[in-house]
Order: sequence, then C-alpha cells, then structure tokens
Amino acid sequence: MLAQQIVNAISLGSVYALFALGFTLVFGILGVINLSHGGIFMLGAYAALLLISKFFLPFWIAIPVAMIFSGLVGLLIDVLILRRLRQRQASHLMPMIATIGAAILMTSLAQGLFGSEARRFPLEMFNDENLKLGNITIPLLQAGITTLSILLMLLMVWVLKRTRLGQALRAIAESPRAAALLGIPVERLFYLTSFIAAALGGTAGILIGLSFNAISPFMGQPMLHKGIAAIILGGLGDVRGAVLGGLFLGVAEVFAITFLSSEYRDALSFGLLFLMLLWRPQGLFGASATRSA
Amino acid sequence: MSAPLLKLDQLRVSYGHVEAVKGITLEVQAGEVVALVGANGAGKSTILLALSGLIRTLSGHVIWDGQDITRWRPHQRVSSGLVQVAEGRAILKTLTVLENLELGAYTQPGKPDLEAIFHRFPILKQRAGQLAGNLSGGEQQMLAIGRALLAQPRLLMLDEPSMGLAPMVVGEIFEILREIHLQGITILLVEQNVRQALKLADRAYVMETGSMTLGGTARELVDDPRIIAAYLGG
Repeated sequence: MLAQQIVNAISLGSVYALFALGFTLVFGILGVINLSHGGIFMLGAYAALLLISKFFLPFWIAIPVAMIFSGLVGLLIDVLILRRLRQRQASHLMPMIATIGAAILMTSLAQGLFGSEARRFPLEMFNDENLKLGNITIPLLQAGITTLSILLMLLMVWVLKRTRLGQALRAIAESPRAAALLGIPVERLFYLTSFIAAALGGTAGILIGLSFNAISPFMGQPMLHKGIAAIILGGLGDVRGAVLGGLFLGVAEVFAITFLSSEYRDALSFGLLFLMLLWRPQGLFGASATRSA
Repeated sequence: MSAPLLKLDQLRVSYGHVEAVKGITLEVQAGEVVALVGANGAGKSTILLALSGLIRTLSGHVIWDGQDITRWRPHQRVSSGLVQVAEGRAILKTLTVLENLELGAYTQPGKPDLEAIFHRFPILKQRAGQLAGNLSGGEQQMLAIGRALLAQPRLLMLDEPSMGLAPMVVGEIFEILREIHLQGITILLVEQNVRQALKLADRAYVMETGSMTLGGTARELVDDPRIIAAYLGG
C-alpha cells in the first residue's frame, strides 16, 4: 500500500516537476514570471488530443508534434509580448500582467473551439497492461508518463550542465549584459528558452491529461499555482529546486489524499509552501533573486 | 595615413534622458593604443557601450574595418573582433574560471587554446575549477582580459582596467596590456588613471561632459599644461 502510493507520488510529482522546470527556466534566464505557462500547458494537452482523436495520429507521433506546437506558442508569446517589453526595459510587473492576459486569451480560445466540458483521450489506444514489481502495480501508461518526464528533465539538466549552449544560458541567467559582451546572441537564446520552456509545459499538459484522462480549458490555472508553489519551494530560478519542488508537491498531494481525504489535497500542499516560506524565504536552493547588471 | 581600423563619425548617444555623448569623432589606426581619458561622467564608458552595441546611438556612424556597423547586434561585433573588457570586469561569478574562459571563445569555432592563456596567467590555471566570484580583484581582471583574448580580438576595448586595484596590481595589468599590444592587438583604453594610460598609449583623446576637448599624441599630452593641471596633479 505504502509502496504503491510512493510510486503514484513520484509519477505525479515528476510531471509537476517538468511543468515547474519550464517555468523556472524562463524566470532564471529571461528574468520574467510567465503567467501564461498554465495556458500553454492546457493548449499542449488539446493539441495532443486533437492530433490523436481528429487526425488519428499514433500517440508516439502526436506527442512530439504537440510538444513542438506548445513550444511555438511560447515562442509566439515571447516575440509578440515579452520581446517588446524587454526592448522598453519594462518593470517586472508588466510581463506578469501581459502574460495573465495571454493566459485568459488562451483559455477563452479553448472554450470557444472545444467547449467548456472536459474531454478525454481515446484511451482504448493504450493497452491496459500493468507492470508488476512484487506487490506494486504500475499501469504501463503511468510508467511511460513517469519515464518521459524524468528523461526530459535529465536531458535539460545535462544540456545546462554539460553543453556550450547550457553554459551560454547560465551566463545569460547571471548577467545578460556580460553574456552579450562575450558574443553570446542573447536575444536568440531568449527565444530558444521560451520555446523550450513552453515545450516542457505543453508536455506536462499532455501527460496530466493522459494520467487523469481529462482535459479542460480551465486545467491551466490550478497547474500554474502548483508550478509557482514548486519553484518557490525549490528557490526561484534554480533548476534542481524546481525539480525537487515539483516532486515534493506530488508526494504531499498523494499522501494528503491517502491519509486525509482528497478535499485536503491543495490545503496541505499550499500549507507546506507557507511553512517553507516562514522557515526559508529563499526556498531550498535559492540565492536571493537578484541579478547583476 | 591608411584607412582607420575604427572610426566614430559624429556619434551621439543618450544614456537615460541625458545626451551623454554629443557628437564625437574619433579614429583608431590598426596597431595603435589609443586612450580615452577624462573625468567621471564624461561619457567615455557610454562610448564603449555603444561600440559594443549595448546601447543604441541617436545619430552618427561607427565604421569598423571599412563597414558601417552602427546597427549591428552585440554578438556580431564580438564575432568580427571588436571585443570589450567591461567596467567592473563583467565576470560571471556563478560560473567557474574555466567556464568563463570557455565562454570567451563562444564566437570562435573549435576548441579554445586555453594553454596560451594559462601560460600568460598561471594563476588562472591554478584556479580553473573554482567559482570566478571567489577570485581577488586583480585575478578577476586577469580573467576578464584572458577571456577577451580568447575571442580573438582585433581591437580590444578596456573600460577602467585599473579600477579598484592596488597600485602594484595596476602596474602588472598595464604590463600585460603592453605585451598584448606588442603581439599586434590594437587597444582602445578608457582610463581614469591618466598617468598610466598616457604611458601606454600612442595617442589620446580627452573628453569632458560628452564632448572632445583635446586630442593628440600621448607625448604631447603628457607635457600639456592643461592635462598636467587637470589630471596629473601638476
């Protein structure tokens, strides 16, 4: 029973972590809190749904295509909104307000196009086999979801730690001005970051849609709150922090449901967030969220 | 005289709401060391920021190796060999010394020749794995210069390399700049330490509140009574 719940917690937490990772990348590198990340999450799920149920693509093609689509939505938001605010050196509040607007627009758009009621993946396409590990049962779908999120996170950590691109991104995170003086094409890498972050956010949407088998235009907002909680728990802008924060949130929720009841799920996880902020305002790995000029 | 490597033609730049550079014309010939001196707030750093493309110009032109680069992006300028060591060194403190150096060669294809840099600055080799934020001021300046050299500069711009350093370290830094110049790299130096700057430079320009007030060879300027009174402490 306990082992089973731990597996469920890791599975849910890894998807939260994936969502939070994209969110924190944008904050760390662009210095912007992109509140349309939940909207992108939702559109990613709808994109996959549409590709599978209307275009009858197999899921292993539909998922990558929906990921790229989500990335392009993020790129579009950057080019249309964030870039202009950067050029004007707008204050931190402006991108937040502007991306809330983008999120509302995306939600309305999804409502208009797909209706307000929840939609489902045609899950007959997945065989409902289970993996048996001792007395733990892991549905194959859940195993796949968890594996994909963990692989994507490992890939991102590897890129950031070990590649030239990652070095350049970390340089921009510390100081866009210093990075520009080294010949790093800062503006181009801002676009790339927005693309990657949105692709990760959209993927999280697909995976949550698959694991709860429900997609609705309103699924982005609660996820956004969880994402904010996860990155604050971990320390703003810190990749390890976002991953651990997401996992922690997943664990807290699953155990709240198991040992209390599902009504207490959000109360418990956000209560923990509150306690964390009292104890360590900068989060687990947080330096203070300042950057040099 | 041959065509200059760098020419600023009636350059005007505003910084915030202030017109910090009011129509400056300046030339740097290949192989020269040119110093830009003047009081704090004269607009010297603003010129360098505009040359690196970090702030926009209001009017005028920057001609670099015969091309008008006034609208080029910062990374294009670095790729073409116009490289700056910024004021305050712009060291990436959360990255290691080695990573800072590797990023210096970001615009260059292939593996960077770190050995040449380690040969010139042995201390950087010893500290390669440490976070750059833990280096002393002088070591950070060496890192900033070493990192800039890895970008294969044809013109190296330095903004106040002596700032915040002990006199002995300042001497060391200027000795390094002399060696770099002997290797054939052209230098444009912004410096408040006018005495050191004029010792190194072939020519110098003097700026006051956004305008050029004097210009000439370093030898002439060292003996100019106005310079002696204003900057060399008579």
